Amino acid sequence: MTGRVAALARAAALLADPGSDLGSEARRSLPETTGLSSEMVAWALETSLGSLTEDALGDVVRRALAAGAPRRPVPPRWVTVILAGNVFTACLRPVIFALALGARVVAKASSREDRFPRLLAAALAETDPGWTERFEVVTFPGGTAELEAPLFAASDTVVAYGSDETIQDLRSRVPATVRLLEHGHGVGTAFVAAEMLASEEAAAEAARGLALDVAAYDQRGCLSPVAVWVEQGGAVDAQAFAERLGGALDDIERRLPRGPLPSSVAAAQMQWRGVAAARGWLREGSGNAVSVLEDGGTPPPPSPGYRNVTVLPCPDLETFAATVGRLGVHLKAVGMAGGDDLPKRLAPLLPPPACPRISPVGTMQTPPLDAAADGMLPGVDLLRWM
Amino acid sequence: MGTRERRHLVDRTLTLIDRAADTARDELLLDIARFQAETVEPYRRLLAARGIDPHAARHPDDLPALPTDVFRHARVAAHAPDQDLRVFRTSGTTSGRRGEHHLRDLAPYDRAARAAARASLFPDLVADRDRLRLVCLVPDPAEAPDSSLAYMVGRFRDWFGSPDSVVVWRDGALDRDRLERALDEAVAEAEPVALLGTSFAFVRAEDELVELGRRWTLPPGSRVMQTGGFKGRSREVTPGEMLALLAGRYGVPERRIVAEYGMTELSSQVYETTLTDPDGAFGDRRFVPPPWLRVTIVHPETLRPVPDGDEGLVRIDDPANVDTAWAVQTSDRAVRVGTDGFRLLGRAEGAVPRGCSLAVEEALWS
Repeated sequence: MTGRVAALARAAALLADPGSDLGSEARRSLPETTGLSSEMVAWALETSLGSLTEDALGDVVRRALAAGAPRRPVPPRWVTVILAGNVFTACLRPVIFALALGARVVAKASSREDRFPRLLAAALAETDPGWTERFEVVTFPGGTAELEAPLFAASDTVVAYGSDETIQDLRSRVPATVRLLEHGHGVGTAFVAAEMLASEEAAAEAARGLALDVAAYDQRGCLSPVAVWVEQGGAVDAQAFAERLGGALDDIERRLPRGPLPSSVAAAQMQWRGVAAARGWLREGSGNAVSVLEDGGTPPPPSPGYRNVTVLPCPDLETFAATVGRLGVHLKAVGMAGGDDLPKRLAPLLPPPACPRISPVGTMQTPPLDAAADGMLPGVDLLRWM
Repeated sequence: MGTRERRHLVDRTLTLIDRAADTARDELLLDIARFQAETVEPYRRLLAARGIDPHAARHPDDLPALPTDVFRHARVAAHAPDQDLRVFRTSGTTSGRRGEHHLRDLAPYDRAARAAARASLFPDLVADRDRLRLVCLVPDPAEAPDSSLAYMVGRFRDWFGSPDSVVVWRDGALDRDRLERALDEAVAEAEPVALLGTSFAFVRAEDELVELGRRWTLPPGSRVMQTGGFKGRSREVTPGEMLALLAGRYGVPERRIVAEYGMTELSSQVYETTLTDPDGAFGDRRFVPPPWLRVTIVHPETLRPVPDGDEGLVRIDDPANVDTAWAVQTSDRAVRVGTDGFRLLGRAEGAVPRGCSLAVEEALWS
């Protein structure tokens, strides 16, 4: 295990290093394949790969292997990972942990974006050519039964990322003897407690953190907040907070600009912003928009992502929990701005099966290596016990 | 802005439509915009959000259009609900919530619909003399009172239809016996007909008729009007396949098949020019708006007009929408053809999986 962890950490460092050939290639080619700006790609590489040190990875893997003690851990032999294309670094966790546990891994990349997993494979091969037999990336249209069936049949575990429809379809095609770990569609949300709205400075700090959470990956991932609930009773109300959030998003645009807007998303954005303006309040900034939804009326259209976010007033944490708890398993992340005890207060208020990652604002899109995803612990989710 | 001002705008609109000229159109559009800036709350809010003073505008392009989704989430009207004369609703199959167009006065709608149809669909009919048998694959307005298409086609029967015009779409399905009888009679009497229907109705009819092996060669002078999408109610066919299907089944030359482009949120419609310009200079089909209507192809993000030949989204400035939304922004993709025409390229689908994210986010707000 130690050798594998060391190699994986070396591969991560290689990709993270802008001075290496592969690191340079990643920064050059990923903006085109991901649709993110070059600055955002660099940020994503640094933040996701930077935490993949030998010590950190080794520590998480050791803890995973000990999680079922005194039972003996049984690692997977062959893991197939079905990747979505919206957040290019999302492949790291399932691939890295499966490889660290000694499994052979085949990653079926999204046809939208397969560059990063292939760069990861190249980085591993550069540390040790033997990795080419342990980790392979394939790309073909999802649902191609004649290609997927043998892959599933050879696996003992399939880890799948995608829409609910994709997951549903996979469920019907993954053999009963193969374990399926599902990561379906989801959204992030955030809560700003009144104590963070007691002063301009506190509100500005919360807004800065949330702006990064919204802007990261251009709000295209399941951890991205689509809406922010602002507790009433502070000196800064929802609209005033929305102004600050908009200003912070404008600031972020200067250092982490949004990628080009696909025309289909632009149409959805046009509709969303029109409804937001017609129904409530809207601030259109530089590559972003913040709306404030007034009470009552029909539910607004879903955010198109790409840094379009809604702010809502909220009486208290309990109301927030009851509201977002309705999302169930689709609630993937909650960002919190407030006292240190806020996460502990929120967790028991969320009705099962909701089990989002709860984190401070500013960190929603940079989960630590040992963070749970969909309620599953890294590495532990791949193991069985005897 | 009071009743007198509104009445004056309506009169100017009706005059513009009657004159079939576009002079004074843009000035009228700006005046309607200013009226709606004060009386239509969603539009007032949109202008406020963008920091736009409608009185400073010198050209319709200086002012934003209201996105079609707003009709699903807010009341878009200058008048109070108790002044609604008719409410048209979208089909609502794509997102669950139906858009509503609240009309207090059908005169602008009727004037626009009649003028555009006469010019593009019935150019050979002499007014007040000639009538045509209309065979309608569209429900009767009594069966679908909130369908603007049903209303329009019902009015076509009043204005252009002979007494033997028929509705062959009832209770959501084709009345095949009636269709066959109407077309058989037309052939026997050598009398031309106008077949009017939605794309999905024509496809559903096709699927039934092909099994029976029924086919017609409709008399010269016959024509087909086809409109709308498939909305998940039938299999989808490409525009080329639709033309071949209609020409083959009904024996009407492709150049006498006219597509109509309209929507619940508008009072006016746009037609292809194939009946009036069959050997068009552009060698292909295109929509050309009537003179009182202004159609712009805009960039999806900036919402500014795109250069000719570039793809964009359709924006329609419709003075007949005096009481609702003078300018409507759609998510329909198009490209300009020539100086005054355009070709539709389909809807701009959002990048987010629609059903999935919609269900999730509606749970959030419910």
